[in-house]
Amino acid sequence: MSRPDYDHHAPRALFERASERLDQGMAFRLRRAREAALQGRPARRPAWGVPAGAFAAAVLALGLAWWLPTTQPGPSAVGPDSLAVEDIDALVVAEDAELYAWLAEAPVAAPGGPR
Amino acid sequence: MPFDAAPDAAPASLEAFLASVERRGFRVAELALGHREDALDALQEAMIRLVGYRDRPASEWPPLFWSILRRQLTDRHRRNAVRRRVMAVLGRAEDAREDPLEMLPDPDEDPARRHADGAAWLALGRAVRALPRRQREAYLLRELQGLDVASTAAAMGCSEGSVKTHLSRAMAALRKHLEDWR
Repeated sequence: MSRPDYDHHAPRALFERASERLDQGMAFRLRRAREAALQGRPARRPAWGVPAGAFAAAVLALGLAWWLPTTQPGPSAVGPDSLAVEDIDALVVAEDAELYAWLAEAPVAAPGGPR
Repeated sequence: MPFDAAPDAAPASLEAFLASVERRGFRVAELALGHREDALDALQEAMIRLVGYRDRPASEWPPLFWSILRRQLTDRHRRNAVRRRVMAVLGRAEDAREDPLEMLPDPDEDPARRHADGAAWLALGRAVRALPRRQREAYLLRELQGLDVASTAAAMGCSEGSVKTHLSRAMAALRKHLEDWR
């Protein structure tokens, strides 16, 4: 007794529906990924979060904070703290302004834990 | 027989081309990998790499894009297989990576139809991922995406005859897995 053949058009039709009727959230993410690719930058962050540029800037900032007070002592020196802060700000902003855009979008941990 | 659903006309710009293939590329990746985030990563990486070929003639973008995406999927499929083996050795079940409710999430659609499509999508994905790699690629590119045989062969880096052979075997295997779809 022969079985009726499966309808191989059905997967194709399902694929068409799935492609045409993507949810709005994913459609938005696809559009953002496309725009990022065209601009030559990644739209998504690695799972471990902080980008390499921001990490390098943070290390540099810590190094400056550690080094500046000991090499520019004395009351006549330009205020090392304010200078260091300005430099660090400039470095961080110049290094990865994108970090802030990402931080603005990143989910904030709630007191009740992940949801 | 497979049909040709992919747009034939040369795109006006790279952005227009990417916009025309991003949804289908995402769905192909989702079927191949079984995970939306992995699929999005693979698709975005393929887009980024294709941008490096933006100076090539527009007619070359489709086979390039699908070839790049195919390689992405192959790499990630292997990585996932290794991860599953490691998790199995460690005695830990892998996280549930499939959510049927995320499959066809059109909130205006009939819930029963949506549920049925979600279940069908999962079944299709499992069956596709169970195929040998070359058969899976031929099925996704030729049968679902609708590339013609020559473009499929270019994307897979093989002859047109090989595409037909792989596709024929894939269809035979899927006939067993998906025989409920009648």
